[in-house]
Amino acid sequence: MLGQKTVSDQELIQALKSGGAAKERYEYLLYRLHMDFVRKRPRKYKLTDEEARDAYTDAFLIVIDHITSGRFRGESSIKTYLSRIFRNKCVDRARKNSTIKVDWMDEFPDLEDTSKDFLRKMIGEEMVAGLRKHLEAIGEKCKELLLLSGSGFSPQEVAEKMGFKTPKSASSQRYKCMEKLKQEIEKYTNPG
Amino acid sequence: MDAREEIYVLIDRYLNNQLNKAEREAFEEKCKSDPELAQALILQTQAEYAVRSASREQRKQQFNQEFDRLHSQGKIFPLRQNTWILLSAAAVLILLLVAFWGNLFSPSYSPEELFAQNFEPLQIDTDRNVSASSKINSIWREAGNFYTIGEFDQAIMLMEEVVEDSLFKSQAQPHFYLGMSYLQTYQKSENQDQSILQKAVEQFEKISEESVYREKAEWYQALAYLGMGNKEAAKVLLKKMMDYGHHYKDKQIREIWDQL
Repeated sequence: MLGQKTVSDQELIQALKSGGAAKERYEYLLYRLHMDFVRKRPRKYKLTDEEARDAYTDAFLIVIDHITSGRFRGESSIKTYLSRIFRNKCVDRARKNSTIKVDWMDEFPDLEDTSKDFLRKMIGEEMVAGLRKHLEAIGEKCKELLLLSGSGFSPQEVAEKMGFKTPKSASSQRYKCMEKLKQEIEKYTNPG
Repeated sequence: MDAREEIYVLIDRYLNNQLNKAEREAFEEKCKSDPELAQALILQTQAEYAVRSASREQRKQQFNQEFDRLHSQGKIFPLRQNTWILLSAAAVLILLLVAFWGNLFSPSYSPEELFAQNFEPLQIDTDRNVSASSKINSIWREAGNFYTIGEFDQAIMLMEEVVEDSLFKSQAQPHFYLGMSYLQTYQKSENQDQSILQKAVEQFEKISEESVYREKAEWYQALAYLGMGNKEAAKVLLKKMMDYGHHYKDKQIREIWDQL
């Protein structure tokens, strides 16, 4: 039951995959369940509380992605899985000022490796730097819609949250907003 | 749907890996020969990246705020660095006192004795099927039966065959139970040949960091080192387990650490 620490992995997975309000509630529940990792973090990485919190949130968001996309296959408990990713994130944090760089391809986890290579050849790292700022130029409503869909909300959920009559209207509006965003990016990259 | 929207949908499906292999390859080929399509792909990938990375950042901020909110309400208590320094100093003092007291009044155990005290046989999982050919699976089941009735020599013979199978090689379960079979053979044997423990260690080392068997494997690997009298290797592994916040045998890990 929600609010109790006895919630099973099966219940969590089911709720997270079901989407909607249940997904949001259970996301917060899962987040709270294992926050103690931050306190019990490996000391050898010498992370501050804030860095450890960031590492925990990063790890948590990856676990949510993996559960909802089906990449988490339940071979270990969610707690163990989260703990291992958290540990890796702590290592990344500890090295952050030296060699580790975030791979922009991490935002496209579903792509096949061959497609990732193909896109990497076409799009250099410098071509994705600073792109987020263009979201500010497309209007609040468009920005909100794109951020919702980017967070994994389905067209149905976006329609409910933003007051569209149907999921199709939400999808159609998403297309228009993406076109606006593309125009903004194009203006910046090809000013002529 | 106009042509522009059709291209948008096609690229959207490509970026979400919703095209099949043939469609994906055809799309990539077309991009190589069609500069307009290639440009559309670049632009849409950039826009998609902007949306996804901003969404992730926004979600991260939301959850970080939740963390800070609960922290400020006293519902979680991450300790500050200076608190840790004080606690560490206190812990060192207590450990010194305990060590001094312990030397006077407590028996000390050799690594080999610690192995004997802490080793516990482990039952094999009832779900023993692993994806492989039916022949190998039946050998695996037979090995499991021998393991269950304590015929470890027979179990080892069959499991050694199983772990050579190309599909089984990458799976943790056969390596783990082969390692366990070696440990139990060692424990039951009279001459206690330490090369058997080395074989167990080799199997435990093959289990990946991500495996569900990893924590158990590390625990039994540390015990194997103790059985071999290799105190230093055992300490390195025990330290790693404590640092990583092992959940399996947490109490025993700390007890052995204190003993060592």
